[in-house]
Amino acid sequence: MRNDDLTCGRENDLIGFLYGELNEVDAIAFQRHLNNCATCSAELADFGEVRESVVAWRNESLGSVAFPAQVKASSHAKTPRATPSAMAALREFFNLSPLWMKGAVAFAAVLFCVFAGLALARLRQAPPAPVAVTPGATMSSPEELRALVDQRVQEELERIKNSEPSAPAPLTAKDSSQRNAVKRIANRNTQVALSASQKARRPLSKTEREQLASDLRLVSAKNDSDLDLLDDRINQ
Amino acid sequence: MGTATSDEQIVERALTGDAEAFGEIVQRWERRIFVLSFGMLGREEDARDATQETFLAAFRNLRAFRGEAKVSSWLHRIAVNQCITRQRRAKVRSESALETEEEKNAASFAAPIRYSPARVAEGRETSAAVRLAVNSLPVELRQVVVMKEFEELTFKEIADALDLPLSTVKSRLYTALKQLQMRLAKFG
Repeated sequence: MRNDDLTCGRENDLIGFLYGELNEVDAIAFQRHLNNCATCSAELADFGEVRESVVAWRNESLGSVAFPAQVKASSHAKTPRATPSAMAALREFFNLSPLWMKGAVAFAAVLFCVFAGLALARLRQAPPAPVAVTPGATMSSPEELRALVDQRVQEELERIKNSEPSAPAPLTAKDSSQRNAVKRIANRNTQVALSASQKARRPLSKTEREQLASDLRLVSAKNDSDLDLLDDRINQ
Repeated sequence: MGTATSDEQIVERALTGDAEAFGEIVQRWERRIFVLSFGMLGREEDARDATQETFLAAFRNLRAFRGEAKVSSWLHRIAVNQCITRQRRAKVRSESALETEEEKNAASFAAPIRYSPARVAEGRETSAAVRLAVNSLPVELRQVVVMKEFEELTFKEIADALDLPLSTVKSRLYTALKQLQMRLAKFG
């Protein structure tokens, strides 16, 4: 055990030397003294170890400490504050909400899960939507699909065009007169039929028969002799 | 060289009603006062509180500051007083976590294994031992050790801050190191 009372009266120099605060001359002088003074040498070594211990404690303690200035600076920094995650927010919400709300939310969550599961199952079971493609044709690209659609459209247009009635041919004067005659005849026949029904099959007079025959052009003028026959037949 | 504004000039500005001037003082000295408080009290929370109280006390007593001493000395004195006050309160309450830990750690350090101070410095237990040893020093010795080892001030700066002769600072530091060496040897 070292005798602590043994000092050589150079404590201040020893402290100055220990902390490197002696000027060059004093430092050299004290170094010479250390070569001859075992007490100062031992103390210097001991104090060195004490210093190491204190510095180690300081580094260990303050190494993880954010100084108030740093805390202040970081709080004033314009970096966005870390926002809590969605899960953290949900957790906080659940912690703060009353029991009935927790229950309701849990029930809603269960319902949602059930419906979601059902919808998913139905989606998986449903057959794929049919695609109108030419049998044997394979769709390899959007361009081919477009071309096929164009082709189909053209075919459809042609089909529609062909199914429409053809435009009527321009009428000639002869056709027009024939048509008018037919119309006239039809009208007269209608009138004759009406009058016939009204007159309850009254026999036609000769004039009427002639008129009718001429209208119908059933007999020509040269066949007048046959008219009588007709007349007889009709009257029968 | 830039002409940095001195602490005294900033305090003058604060005294004339410049609201931001005292903030500059806080910004300049907050870290050092915190380190000093940490060294004196040994606990981060206590050090933060002591730092806050130091600046509050300084602000309240700003008009009493006459400029006879340096602002740094003035703040150091306030900080040391705050630390002493806090420790006294803790002792009176006998609820200081430091004391509880001290007792707990004292028991654990009763182990018969002896380590050299350098070896001791490597472990966490040693840090606790050093903290207890520093905290067991008398205030006048402790503040010198803390100012030297934590604030890394020169002897002259410490002497200025504490308004002491340079030789007194050195002798106090010598005594403090001697006591620490003895206490650590006892722990080890």
